[in-house]
Order: sequence, then C-alpha cells, then structure tokens
Amino acid sequence: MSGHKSSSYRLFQALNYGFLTALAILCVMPLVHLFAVSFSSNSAATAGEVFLWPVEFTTKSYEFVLTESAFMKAMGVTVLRVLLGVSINMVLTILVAYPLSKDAKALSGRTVYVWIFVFTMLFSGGIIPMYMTMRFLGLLDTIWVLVLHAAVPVFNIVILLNFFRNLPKELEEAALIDGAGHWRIMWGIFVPLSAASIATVTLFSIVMHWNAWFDGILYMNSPDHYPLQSYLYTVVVGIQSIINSSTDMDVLTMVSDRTARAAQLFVGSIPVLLVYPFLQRHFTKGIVLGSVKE
Amino acid sequence: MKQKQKQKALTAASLLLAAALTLGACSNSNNGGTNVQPSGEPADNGGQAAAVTGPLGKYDPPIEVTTVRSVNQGFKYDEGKSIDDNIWTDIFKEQYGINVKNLWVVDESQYRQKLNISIASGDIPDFMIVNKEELLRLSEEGQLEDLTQLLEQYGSDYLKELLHQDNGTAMNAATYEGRLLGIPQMQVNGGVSTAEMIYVRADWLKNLNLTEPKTIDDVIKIAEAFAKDDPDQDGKDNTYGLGLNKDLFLAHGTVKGFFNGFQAYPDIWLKDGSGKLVYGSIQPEMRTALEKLSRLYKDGVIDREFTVKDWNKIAEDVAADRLGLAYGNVSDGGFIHKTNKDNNPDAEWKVYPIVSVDGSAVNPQLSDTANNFFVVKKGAKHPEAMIQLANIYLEHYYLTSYAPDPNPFISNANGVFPGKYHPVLIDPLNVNLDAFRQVQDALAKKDGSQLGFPANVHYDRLTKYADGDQTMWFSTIVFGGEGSYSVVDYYDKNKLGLYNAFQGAATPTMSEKMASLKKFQDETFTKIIMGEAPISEFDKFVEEWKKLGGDQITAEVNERI
Amino acid sequence: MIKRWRMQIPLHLMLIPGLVAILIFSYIPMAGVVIAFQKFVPIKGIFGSDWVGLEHFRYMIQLPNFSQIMWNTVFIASMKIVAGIVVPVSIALLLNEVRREAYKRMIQTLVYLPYFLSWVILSGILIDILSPSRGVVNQFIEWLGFDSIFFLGSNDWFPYTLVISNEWKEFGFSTIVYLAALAGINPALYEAALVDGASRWKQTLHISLPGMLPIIVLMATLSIGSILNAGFEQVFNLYGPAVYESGDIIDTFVYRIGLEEAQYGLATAVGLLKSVVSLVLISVSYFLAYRFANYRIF
Repeated sequence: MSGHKSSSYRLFQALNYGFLTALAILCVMPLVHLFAVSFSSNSAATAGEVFLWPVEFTTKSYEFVLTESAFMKAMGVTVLRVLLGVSINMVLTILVAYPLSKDAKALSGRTVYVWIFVFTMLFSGGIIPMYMTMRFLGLLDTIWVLVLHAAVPVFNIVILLNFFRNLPKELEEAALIDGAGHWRIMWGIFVPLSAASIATVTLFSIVMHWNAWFDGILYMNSPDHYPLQSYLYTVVVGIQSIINSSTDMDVLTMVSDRTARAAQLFVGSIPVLLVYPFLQRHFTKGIVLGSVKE
Repeated sequence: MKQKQKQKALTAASLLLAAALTLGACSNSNNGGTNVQPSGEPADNGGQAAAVTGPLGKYDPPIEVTTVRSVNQGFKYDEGKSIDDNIWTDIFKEQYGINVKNLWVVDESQYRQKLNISIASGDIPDFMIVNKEELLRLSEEGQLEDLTQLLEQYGSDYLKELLHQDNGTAMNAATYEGRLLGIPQMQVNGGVSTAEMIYVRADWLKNLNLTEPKTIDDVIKIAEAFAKDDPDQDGKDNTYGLGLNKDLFLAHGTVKGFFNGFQAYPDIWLKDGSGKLVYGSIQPEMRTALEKLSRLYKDGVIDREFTVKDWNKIAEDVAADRLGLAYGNVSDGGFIHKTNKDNNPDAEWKVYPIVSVDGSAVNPQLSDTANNFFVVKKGAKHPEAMIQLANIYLEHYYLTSYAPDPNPFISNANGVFPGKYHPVLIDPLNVNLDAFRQVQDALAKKDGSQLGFPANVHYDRLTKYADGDQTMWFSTIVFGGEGSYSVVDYYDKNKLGLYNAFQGAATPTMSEKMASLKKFQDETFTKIIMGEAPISEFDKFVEEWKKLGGDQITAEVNERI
Repeated sequence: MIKRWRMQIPLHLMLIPGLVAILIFSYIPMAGVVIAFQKFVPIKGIFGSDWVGLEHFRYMIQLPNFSQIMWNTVFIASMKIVAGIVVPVSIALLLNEVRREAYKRMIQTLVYLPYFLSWVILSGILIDILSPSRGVVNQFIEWLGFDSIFFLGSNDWFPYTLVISNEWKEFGFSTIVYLAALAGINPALYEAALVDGASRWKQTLHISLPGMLPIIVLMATLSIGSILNAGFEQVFNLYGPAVYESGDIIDTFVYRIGLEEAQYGLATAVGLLKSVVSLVLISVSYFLAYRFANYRIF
C-alpha cells in the first residue's frame, strides 16, 4: 500500500518525517532529563547543571531506590491494583457498551440508560460522602477500595460504544439470522473486531489506575498500603510541606535529594511506558481482521 | 439475656485475673516510681483501670487509647519496625501500661484533609493534633475535654515548664473562656529560631573588598556589587544581587527579613502606640521598603525572573555560584548552601543578623510558637493518657541519661531517629539553640564527653570538620561558632524578635476575605517591585485593602483581645 | 412483539452489573452535594451542619476578582479544548501517512512519554528552557533576531504558554484514540479511492477524516464539559503573584482559600457549579447533534 509517488507527495513525506522526528525529540526530552538527573550527583543536579546528560555520574540513587522497601511495596500494590482494576473495568465496559451501542428500537430505554451513566461522569458528591460510603461498606484500607470506586469507567464506555456502533451492521444481522444470541455476538463478533478500540480503552484504564494517587492517600490507613503514585506524591509534593514546616536539618538534607527523587520517578514510570508499545500491535490487527471479514 | 450474664461472669473473672497479675507485677518490680493501686472491685462495665493519679504511673490492667498520625519521608524505621510498633510503643506497653492504637496514618501533606473527612464520618480518636481553626470549631461543638485540671494533676513539672516557655502565648491561644482545650505543640525550632537572617558569600565580599553588612545601605551596596562587579571574577556577567523567590515571604529568598529592617512586618498583626492591633502589611514602613526593592529591580540587582522562581530555583542559583546574597532561615545553610560548597570548595558563606536602616538592632518577625494543638475527645475514657504520653516523651527523650550509651529514643546506629514516632511531641522551643551554646562551650573546653543529644551529634560533626572532613561543612554553617545559630543566639541574648500580636483562630471575616486580600497584597507588592506599578499604587492598595474587608477584620481582631 | 422483548432481555441483563456499581459508588455518594448548601463543619457531619442556602454561590460571585478569575478559567480552558482536538487529530493524520511501521510506532511511543510526568517535574524543566536569559527557547528567538520573551512571567504570554505546554504534555496520549479510529476504517475504501485515482490528500479529506468524525465529535463534546477546568496542577506549579492577573483560575483560587480553612462547602459548591455548566453544555451539544445530524453522540 504505497500512495502516490508524485514529487510533491515525496516532499510532503520528507517534511512529515522531519516534523514528527522533531516533535518526538521535544517530547522525549523531559524523560531524558529525569534520567540524566537520576544518574548525576546531587550537588550537580541542584546547581541545575544537568540537562540531558549525567554530570558526575553515579548510580547511588538507584542503589537507594532498589533497597527502598517502601518503593517496592508500593509498586506491588500498584501492580495488583492495575490487574484487578483493569479486569473489572474492562468486563463492565464491554458489558455496558455493547447494549448501549444498539439503537433505541433494539433496546428500549436506551437513552435513559445512557444518561444515567453519563450523569455520573459530570456529578459527584465529593470526597466526604465517598469516604463515608467506603467506610460503611468496610472497604477502607483494602485493595478493593482502589479497584471498586472507579469500577465503571463511563468515559471508556462512551468511547467503546461509539466504536461498536461503527462496526458494519450486516455482520450482526447475519449472525442474528443464523440464530446467534447477543452474548455470542458480543464475544464472537464485536470484541474480536474491535481490537484497536478495546486496546485503546484498556490503555486508558491501565493509565487511570496507574496514575491515581489521591484515592490511595484518602482511603488507605497506612503509607505501607499506598500504591506507587501515592507514594511518589509524598516523595515529590509532600516534601514541599516538610520544607515549609520543618526546621530539622537532617530531615531537610535527606528529602532535598533531587537525584533520588528523579530515580524513583524514572523507575516508577517504566512499567506504564512499556505497556503502550505492547498494545500497539492491536492497532493494526484491527484493520487486518476487518478486511478479512469484508 | 443469658449471653449478657455470661459476659458479666467473664468480665469479673478477667478482672480478678488482672488484679492477681497486677499484684504479682507490683511485687516484682519496684523500680520506676510508679504509683499503682490495684483495684480488686469488679467494675460494672468493662475494666476500670487501676487509677494513676499523677505523672508517669503505670496502668494496670493496660489501657488502650486511639489516635491518628501524620508521617513524612523523613520517617525511617529499623527493619521490621513501623509507626505502630517501635521502641516507643514497647515502653508505652511494658513500662506504662498504655496501648496506643493508630486509627490511621497519613502523609503529612494530606493530614488535615484526612482528619476532617474522618471527623465528618464520625471517627474521632481519643486524642489528636489539630490546628487553630479545628481547635476552635471542635470546642464550639463541645467536642473537647477541658484539660485545665488534667494538666494540673497529671502534667510533669518539665511539661508544664515547657508549655510556658513563651510566657504563655501559646497556652492563651489554646484557652477559650477559661478552659484549656488543647496542649500547644511547641515547635522544636520555634520561637526565636524562626527569625530570618542574611546569607552572604564571604569570598565574594573579599574579592570585591566589601565589608560585612551593618545597615540596609550595606546590604544594598553588596547586592549592587554582586550583581555588577563580577564577584566571582570569571569575567562574565553571570551573577545576581539579592535573591528573591516568587512567594516573597517564605523559604530561601524571602524578603521578610529585608522588610523587618525597615520596621515593616508583613502578614502579621502589630500593637500600635495605643495598644490597638494593626495589620503589618499596610503600614507606611512597607512603602519605604517596597520602594527600595523596586529600585533594586530596576537597576538589575534583583533577578528579572524572580517572579517565576520558587525556592527550589533559588537553591539552584546558590548552588551554581550565581547568587551570593539572600535572606533565609536558620536551616538553609545545611541543605541549600551545602550543595554550593560541594560544587565549589572555594565558596565561603557567612550568616548575619538582619540589619536596619541606621544600623541599630531591629526585631525580626517570628512565627507562632505553636500552630498545632493536642486535643482530647470529650468523653474519652482516659483523657489524661495524652498528657501521660507527653510526660513519657520528655522523660525519655530529654530527662533520662542513658550514658555512656546513646539515648536509644533519639537516634541509633542505623541513622534512624525514633524520636519522631512518638505521638505527643512537645519540645523545648530552643532545643537547638541550647545545643549550639553547649557545643560552643564544649569546643572551648575541647571536651564534648558531657554533651547530651542533640549537642553531641553536632559536636562530633564539628570536630570532624575541624579535622579536615569537608563533608561536615553543613554542620559548621549551622552550628559552628559563626553559623546560623550564632545569629539566633545574638537575637535571643538581645531579646530581639516580634511575634504576631494576634493569636488564635481566624475571625469570621478573616476566613471569608483573607485569601482575596492576600492575593491582592502579593500581586500589588510583586508589581511594585517589578516596576509594573508605581510606588503610589501602595497607597491605593492600603485604601482598597481596608474597604474590601480589612477594616472589618481589624475591628474583629481588636474585639477578640 | 413478545419475541422482540425476549431478544432484549440479555441486553438489559448485561447492564445490571454496571448499574449496580454506579448506584453504589456514584449515586449514593452523590447525596453529598447538599454540602454545597451548608456551612459544612466536619464535626457536625452532613446531617448536622447548618443550611446556608445559596450563600457559597453568592460568596463566589461577590469575590472582588470573580469575573477576572472566571474569564481566565474559560479563556484558558477553551483554548486548551480547541488545541486538544486540533493537535492530536492532525498528528494522527500525519502519523497515518507514515509508511514505515517501526518508525511510526517509535514516534507514537515517544510522543506519549510526557503524559506520565507530573507538573511538579515538568514545571522545573519549563522554567529553565523558557527562561528569558538562559533558556534554549529564547536563545533561539534571539538568534532569529527577536527580543526574548518572558513566557511565564508576563501576563500577555502566560495563558498561551499554559496552553502550548499543556498540549506538549498531552497530545501524544490524546492521539491514541484517533489512531484507533483510523485503524477502524475499512481498508476497502482506500483501495477503491486508489482505483479512482484519488490523491493522498483527497483520501485524507474524503475517507480518513469522515471516518474519524464520530470520534472527533464525541471527544469534542466530552471536552466541552471541561470548560471550567483549566488545569489546576499545571497552573498551580507554574504561576505566581506576577501572573495572578492572567493565570489565577477558579481551582487555584479555591485552593488558596482552602489553605486558611477547610472550606468543604465552598469547594463542593464550586464543583456543583462546574457540573451544572458541563451538563448544560454537553446536553446542548447532544441534542444539537441529534436534531441536525440525526446522530446520537452517545
């Protein structure tokens, strides 16, 4: 599949490659910076001497990170949370998106259903009633509170139902005539044909669970149970409050270490960065399957 | 019904057992001066603990009290230890019969959030630490135990002494209608140690043949020279004069100390000649100080980009030899200037008291001695337990000598500081200032063997530095003979320092309007400094400030006292 | 008729788990919005706090700089909304033209990286590279012969700096959903166009864009709902008194009020106001799309 070979198109291609490369460099810069800081000495980092290359190279920060049990524990909580949370998210997303992708004739009350879901995207009671609900359910300080409070990702549902709706109608009709029920159509036709969009909402769900920090601090009763981002929050933002409130020099020296902070942030972002390239192959798979079916 | 009876029988049996154990324990251990009275009488509901009638008794059977905790990244533990199980909780249990249960533990930055939510959902621990606003609200709702009597009866002498070390200012802030509702948490380095001071690159002074700052004009002269005369002599125009951060009034690069030199005291309340309270930020002295700053900015002495730089960025400028003059706090040298010394071993820093226009001594403004208060829930079973815990802290942290071993409650060989694990921390305001004085004495006598914590730590570091260990420089800049504490020492000996004359929770209009007024203030001050607004803008600001609620706040504040 | 109902039953059943979950975790806690009409005091709880009616809304509107804060919020947010659609869609289309699969994937992955760095970290980097005296960007601008620009310190530039830097952080991630939309377009359509001799440009205009349209409209509608969310994290980490005039938004202001006291009533009122505005805007776009294009966004 190669488009026109006209010279103007070739010029466009050259510019396009150049532009995208420049953009990618611009985007990769902050992470490289973080990487460079994490391998530099603290004094060089504090003096702002480190830009994209380590100054006074040292692996001290990584020795610190890899022996910091709190960091490793938090990583474990996050991994568990992502596994549980994303599974629940995806099951509910598909189960809700499929029926809602039908028109009002095929599903009576569809519009009402949709708005019941969309409404929750816009209105929330705030953290106090949320906390009281979790307390009432006895979920506080358990992994389930992190998994369940966002069990229904309405945003993802809305996206997925739009993708579902754009699948060729004929496929479903043919299957119905063959006597297939909705469950079979959903798992046998809709889900396999929507690899790209399901990969997308899965990614959204992973990222949402990965990035959430406030719920960990709010619902967990001990920093030992924090997921990674809550822990990192206390490392990066929490230290500001120490600086403003504490005059204990030893604490200040300990927390103002920029390189250790950078190393923790860097290591802490690797897993989620690896997820995307892994999911990427589904973006082309969707096309292949789709064309086979035509 | 049957169930209930069975329960009663069980309770009685367990009480008897407890009593027997108590007697045993008593005959076994005669140390510690505990005054335990075993109670053989079966109580009607649950265990009526053996009464402890004074400071530092042992509860038998043990009691349980609940609390909530905030921790930060500075909390490190020995292997297998935690905030719930550590050297303190061990002695609470074994020596004093108190089980302290943490309902939850949260990072310091979210403590108030979690506390309020937890209170709102009905989870109130037996005791906890709250700020002024929460203290006021909880007391208005009648949720707090009156501690007046309890402190009198159970507080140790040393505790009582500490609580009055600021002449009762903090105790007054915690007293409503004659009832003491909270025990003020005295800051470890509170009081005079919160005064600002001037940090100067001494090697730059030497390079340019400048003298140390004695007046504001000296400071300005130094700032101008540092900005323009190439103080680092590298032939490049790469230095700033006076360091300022965008927040103006906190951390390194504050201007509070500069303002104080003009007798201007931003953000606090002052007593005027007639004894009435007035707001510092709107006094005419502010105008003079702002005018000076705006001139410095115009002359390029202040970094043109200060409005985007927080203290982190100021620290970078210091570390990278770009900044040699700024106002700051007592600990700054230990972690900010330290990095400069690491990068550039030739860098020399000195610390000076803030200076006035004419060179006479001037009061630096001080932070409140206590922002937070330990309170006890109304109806807590053992309201005195919190005071007992405070006693225990002081007893083991400050009063007991473990010599020749180091005090295990303070620090251990692994660089862990268990002191912070204690739930009721009340410290002497001047613990570090006193340490500084002891260290100086010991250095003069060349004998540090008699020093307790924390002086011994500093003594060790300073001797190491004297022996050539450059990594200990950070101790010198703080605790050395010319370190930042020598400045605090000077303030203290000359009785310099000015507290906020208004203590206590925000008044109604204050909580409604202060944020707007503060925004207005910081915006106006920044604009004046940057020359975006003429100095006459200050007069408009004062008028507007009064109109927008300032007058009303002033009235309310004066009514309060 | 009965058969049609029977056919529907599985569909309704599928919805039940989701409905139960949102009932418990969204609708029950939603009762808490009553705090917006209370002088909420934690110790009194939701049921015991005093009612103040619309007091918090009155307070908000009567703030001396309310109109300015409101304007800043809407101005910054709407620019972010527009940029948040235009940039990712364009990048997705440009990526779609890349024929080398490995290169395409690499670019995709790299542009997605900044999304995972917090503003606390990014702000430090931005202050450096945008610095008028030492920053790379201004060195480039000066090299081109222009005066250096104080991007973060001048009220003229601050809002635009926010929008551009926000897009820098977000576009890679937002591009993903459009790439998924492109992947869903039937390849047969392109093949047919090729047979007709349509140029790449024509193909983009007549096949790719229309194919992405439902998703574009959906994303636009959903983002219109965030017209009062100008990005607290970002603004908070980049602003200061010098740019309050152009950069202080509802969320940062409420945050500063909250520093003095835990103002749950006010914070909830602000949240409620935002929700109502979003609901109105989203409903209007929903019904407009339905009325004029006969298309249900969701």
